[in-house]
Amino acid sequence: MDNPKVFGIVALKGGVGKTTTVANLGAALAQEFNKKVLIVDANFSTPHLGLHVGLVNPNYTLHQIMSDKHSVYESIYQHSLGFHIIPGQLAPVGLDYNKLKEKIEPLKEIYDVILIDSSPSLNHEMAAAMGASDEILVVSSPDYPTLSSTLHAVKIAKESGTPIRGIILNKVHKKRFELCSKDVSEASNVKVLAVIPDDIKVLSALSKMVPIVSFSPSNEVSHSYKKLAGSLIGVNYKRPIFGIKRKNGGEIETYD
Amino acid sequence: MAITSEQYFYALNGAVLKNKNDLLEFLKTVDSSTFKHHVNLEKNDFANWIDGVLKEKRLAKKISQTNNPEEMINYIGETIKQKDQKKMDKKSVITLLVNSING
Ligand SMILES: Nc1ncnc2c1ncn2[C@@H]1O[C@H](COP(=O)(O)OP(=O)(O)OP(=O)(O)O)[C@@H](O)[C@H]1O
Ligand SMILES: [Mg+2]
Repeated sequence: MDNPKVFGIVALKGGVGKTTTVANLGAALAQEFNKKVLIVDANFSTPHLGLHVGLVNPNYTLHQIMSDKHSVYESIYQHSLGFHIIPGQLAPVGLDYNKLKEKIEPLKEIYDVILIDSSPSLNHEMAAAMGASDEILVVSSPDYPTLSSTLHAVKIAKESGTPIRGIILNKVHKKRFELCSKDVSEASNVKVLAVIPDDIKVLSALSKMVPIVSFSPSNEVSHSYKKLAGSLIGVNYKRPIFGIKRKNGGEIETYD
Repeated sequence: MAITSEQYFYALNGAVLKNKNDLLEFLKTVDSSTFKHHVNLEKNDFANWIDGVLKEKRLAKKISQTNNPEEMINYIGETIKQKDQKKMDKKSVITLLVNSING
C-alpha cells in the first residue's frame, strides 16, 4: 500500500482528546510541515470539531454529503491556519454511515493527509470512521478506566481490519500514580506514539476556538503534537530553541 | 513474617493464635470471662501481643485504647482490608483489565 493518508482518530471514551488531537494535528501538519491536510468531523452525533477551530454553525456539512445533498467538495472549508475542514451538523439526523469511506476516497487524490474525528461510542459511527481510514490512532489517558476503554478500542480496531498506527497518551500529569506509556503499550500490545501533557492552556485555546499549536506554539503540548504530526508523515520535528508566538488566531473562509 | 511457637498467643480458653486473622476470628466468638482475663484495668494482652510480636505499632495503640471486642474486630478488619487493597497493585489491575477484555 502507498503511504497511509487517512488516519482515524478514535477512542471508546468521551473527552479523552480525540477532537483536540484532530484539530492540532491538522494545524501542525499545515503550518509546521506545509502539508495539504483535511480534517473531517465524523463524530456524527456530537460533532464539535468546528467548535475547536472557530467554525460554529456551518451551512455545508458532512451530514449533507452523506445524504447526497451536496458533493463532498462543496462542504470543504478552508481555514486560515492552512488546513481544510469538513464540519458536522450540530443538530444531526440519522444517516447511512457506511458511505463515509466512498465519500472520503476521492479526496485522497487531493490531500497529503486526511484526519477523521470520530464518535466515542461503540456504534456504526465509530465503525464507519475505522472503515474509512488507512490507519487508526487510538487516544487514551493514563488511568484505569481509560485503559480499559483503550483495550476495548484496540480490540475493535483489530477486528475492523484497519491497521493501528499507535496510541496517543493524552492528558498526562507526569505523576507517579498515573499509568506510564510502558504500562499502556504492554497491556495493549500497541506502540505509544506520543505522550501529550495535560495543560490548562488547552482549555484556554479552546475558549478561543484555536488549536493550541497555533494559540501557544511554544507550549509543551504544542511541541508534542508537532512531533507526532511529523512522525505520521515520516518527518523529524525539530523543536526550535526559542518558540515564536503567532498572534494569528485564524479565521474561517469558505473554499468556493 | 513467621513467628515461633513461643510467640503464639495462648488464650485462657485454650485457643492458640498465630496471626492477626486468628485473633480476628477468636474475638468474634470469645466468651466474656476469657476476654476479661486478657483485657482489664491492669493490662491488654492483645495490644501487647500485636505490638511486641506482630510489630504493628499503630494497630496496637488502637487496640490498647479499647476494652470492647467489637471495636477490636473493626480495627483489625480495617488493617486487613487495607492490606488486601494494597495487594491489588498496578500490574494485577492491568492484567485483570487485559483478561476481561481479551478473554
Ligand atoms: N492535553 C490536554 N490538556 C488539558 N485539557 C485537554 C487536553 N486534551 C484535551 N483537553 C480538554 O479535554 C476536553 C475534551 O477534549 P476533546 O473534546 O478533544 O475530547 P473528545 O475525545 O473529542 O471528546 P468527545 O468524545 O466528547 O468527542 C476539552 O475540554 C479539551 O480542551
Ligand atoms: Mg470529540
